[in-house]
Amino acid sequence: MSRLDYVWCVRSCGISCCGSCMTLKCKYLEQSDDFLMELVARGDDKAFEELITRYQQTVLNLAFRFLGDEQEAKDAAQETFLRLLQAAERYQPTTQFKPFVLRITKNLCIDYIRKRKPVYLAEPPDYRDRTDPHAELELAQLGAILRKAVVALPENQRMALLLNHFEGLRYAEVAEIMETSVAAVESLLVRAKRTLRAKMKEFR
Amino acid sequence: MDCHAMQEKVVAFLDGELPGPVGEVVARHLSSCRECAEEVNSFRQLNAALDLLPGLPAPTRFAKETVRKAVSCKRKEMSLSELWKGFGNAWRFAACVAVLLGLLSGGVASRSVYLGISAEQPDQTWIIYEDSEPSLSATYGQAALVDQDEQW
Repeated sequence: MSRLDYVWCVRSCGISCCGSCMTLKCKYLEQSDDFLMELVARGDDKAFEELITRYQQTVLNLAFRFLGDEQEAKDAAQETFLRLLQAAERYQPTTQFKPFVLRITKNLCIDYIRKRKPVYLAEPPDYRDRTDPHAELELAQLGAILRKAVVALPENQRMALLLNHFEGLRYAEVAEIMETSVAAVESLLVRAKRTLRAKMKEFR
Repeated sequence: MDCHAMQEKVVAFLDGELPGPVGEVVARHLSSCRECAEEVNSFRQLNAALDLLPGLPAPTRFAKETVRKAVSCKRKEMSLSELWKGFGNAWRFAACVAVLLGLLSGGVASRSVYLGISAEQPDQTWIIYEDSEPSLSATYGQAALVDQDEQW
């Protein structure tokens, strides 16, 4: 069954009552993000679920590293996909999908930051009672310090760092998501990494 | 390019974001400048440390829960609009007329109540008028004359 036949079948009989559609359920995995969005706009819940499965880890990681709070990150991630559903009808296939999703996440994370009261992260855990080797202990403590330092960065620097370093986006893609210039992104990253490097040197 | 300008480009160099000729200039400088090379190493160590920071594993049923929530939100939104769409044109017209009549009746009723309340109150302006302009009021003029007679 061709892609167009598949879309016609969804319109006419729905995904659950047509035998040939049932065989195509497993083919959601093979479909592109743009095609899945087209199906989502037509009300296909399975296509929506497949999109969530593809991007849930990316969105959760970004939200968690930006907000520093697990529950808020889950809420922000869920809200991201709900907004994605609302935006499905006006989504243009020419837009790259991953930056499209991450832009929604970015906006939501910033809204969360502005609504919340100041949150003070807990001090890095005390590993003194454990019998970990010294190197592993030091690495764990460094990780905790860096995580706290990342959350303490100014919002723009933090978002640029998370999008570039953790999500692997190019400067131009980061600039598009953050609605700024490539030069500004470069400057944000330099300042962010210098701050984090200073924290790392203090620890060592 | 001096060392200060070079160090501004180190992060972009490590990220592979410098265009070809600029990247080559930076690479040549780094091979000969110990201070800038140490700068690059320190950022490499930072990048390696950042790579070890954990993310947040997705809960097992996150996708299904999100779809379920989306469906329930959509049902709430659709119930009113679907109800309206289900009406025929005649019923929609009747609903609009009923709303307008309700608003009109409310306006008339509230006006009646307002007029009823305001009728119970004495006319303050007449009292003030009589006190301030005795010569223009025949009643006050007579009262004034009566007072003078009484005084005599």
